[in-house]
Amino acid sequence: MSEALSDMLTCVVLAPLDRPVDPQVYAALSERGWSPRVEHDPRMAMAEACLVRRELQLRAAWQSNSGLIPGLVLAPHPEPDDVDAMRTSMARHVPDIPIWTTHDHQLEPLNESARISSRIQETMAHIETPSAETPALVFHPGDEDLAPEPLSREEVAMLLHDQTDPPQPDDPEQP
Amino acid sequence: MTGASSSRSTRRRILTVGEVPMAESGPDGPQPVANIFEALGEVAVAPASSPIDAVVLALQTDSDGADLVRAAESIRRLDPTVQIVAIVDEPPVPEIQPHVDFQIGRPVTPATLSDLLEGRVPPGQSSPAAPESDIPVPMAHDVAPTPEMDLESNKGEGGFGDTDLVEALLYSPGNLRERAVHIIEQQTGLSEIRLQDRETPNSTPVRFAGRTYGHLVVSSGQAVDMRPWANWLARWVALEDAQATLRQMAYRDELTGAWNRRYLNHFLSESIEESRRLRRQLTVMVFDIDDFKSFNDQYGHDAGDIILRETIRLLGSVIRTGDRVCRVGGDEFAVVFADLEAPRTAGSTHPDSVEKIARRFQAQIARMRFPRLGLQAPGTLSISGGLASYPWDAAEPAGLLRIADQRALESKRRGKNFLTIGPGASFTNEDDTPPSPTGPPR
Repeated sequence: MSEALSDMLTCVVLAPLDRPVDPQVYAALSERGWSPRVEHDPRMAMAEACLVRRELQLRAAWQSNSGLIPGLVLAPHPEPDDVDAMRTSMARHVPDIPIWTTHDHQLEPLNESARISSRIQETMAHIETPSAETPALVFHPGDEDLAPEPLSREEVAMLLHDQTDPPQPDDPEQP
Repeated sequence: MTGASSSRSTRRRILTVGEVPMAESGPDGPQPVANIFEALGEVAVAPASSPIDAVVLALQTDSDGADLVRAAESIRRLDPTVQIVAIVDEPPVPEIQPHVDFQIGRPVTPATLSDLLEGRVPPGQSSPAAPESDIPVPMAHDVAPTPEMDLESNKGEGGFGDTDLVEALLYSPGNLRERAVHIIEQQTGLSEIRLQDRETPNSTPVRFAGRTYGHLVVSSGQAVDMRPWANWLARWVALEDAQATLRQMAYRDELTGAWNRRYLNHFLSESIEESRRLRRQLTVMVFDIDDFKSFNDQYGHDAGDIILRETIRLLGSVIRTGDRVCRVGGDEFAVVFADLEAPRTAGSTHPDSVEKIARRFQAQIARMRFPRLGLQAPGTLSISGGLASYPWDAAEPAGLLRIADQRALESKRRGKNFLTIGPGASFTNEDDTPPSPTGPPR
């Protein structure tokens, strides 16, 4: 990925302190344009994921990103009860945060939001990005149906003067 | 801008985790949640108009309270303004102290807890030390007399005078010592009693709980045993100190030292009322630091904290004496420009409009450098904000904040590093045209 780090979306990774995250998982995150933030405690991971969600919602409101939330990646954790409780609460309060797990160094969705996110990413990957040389609109001069009609006098008046009724030559109010 | 929304609920929202005895229940009472994750979820989705005010944690913890610390930290990370109360077996637990607002020991009565959450100090509770300087302006309506207080029956010559001191604590804390000394003079029949800082040969120390608050001295030189009065006075002064500490905690943002959202609401209401009375204008600027979250993620929260503190310090050097800087969210700030007459410092040039102050701040923040961050220092910081003025844009606090919010949003849409300014903020003091609630002077 050639994106600057500041342009990447933050993805929270919950992993135990004594077990480093597999570098290939980081690579998988990077391929998606996500920057990992590793947390070792489920409470802190949930708080951080909620913060990222809030931030991205705000940025989406400012139309500065797509609104897609990377979410939370769960590596095997020594406190499964806490992780289960966290997932239950997240499903209840913030179901829109995608939750993922890792399998063979790849991300696998754990909830519906992650499945939807995955599908969106797959779809976006198949959309061909137009090059800078590609014109935004192709006009075929030979196609008569597409030839623009000349504007009427009334329409010109409306465009120039924002008047619905064009001035009449015999109108005493007009100069 | 989520921090300064247009309308906020006046009902305090309190979550309880674990076995917490609360007197009030039902829809308006504290809300019990199953575990810390549920509390986090509630804090995360609480609307800006009705944020969670406090979380009471009654967790079964290990001896060093590591669980409780993690729980408190996670809530604070999500919303630094939430008040956190920990119920523990034997307070104070030193490891917990920096992470919570209060610790109280089991068993806890509903009354004790209610007192604490309402801002009254129950006996024996433990709270972190607050800075002693710069005590906030008292807000009398926060500590309105309760029906139990009979403030009139014990006043003047007929009583001991303690009700005068209660009133001083509630409404004019700065006068408590003076009033207390006056009461001692009345009760002893002595004149010229002083409470002084330094110890002199005939003075009596005013001391309580290991702390000396001053020395009582009879200036007329009469030999009187002042120890009982010094002990009495010491307790009142200690109470005044405790109340000042609570006020500090209630109205200040711990990280930056700026005023908090609670204070903003009070101050803005009172300032608008004063502006209405004096027929003066008032401006609110709402802003945040562009891409602060990205910076925080990239360099860590410690670096982010330094930036927040430096921003507040810089802003403090630009505004005037009567203006207030409030932190209303993570990196969201509101500045109330309430002082349009006094120069910032002696000899300084008085800016003739709020717009100039705002632009000066915007320019200075772009030039700000962070040597303490070393290589992590960002190249340039910028802010995006919006200004709204009374009486031009709105006549009440919620309306002003809403319009300032909208303009801040507009600034973001225009590509950041932008201030969107309404007509009122450009209105200069030298302009004799009277403010009009319907539009700008032309």
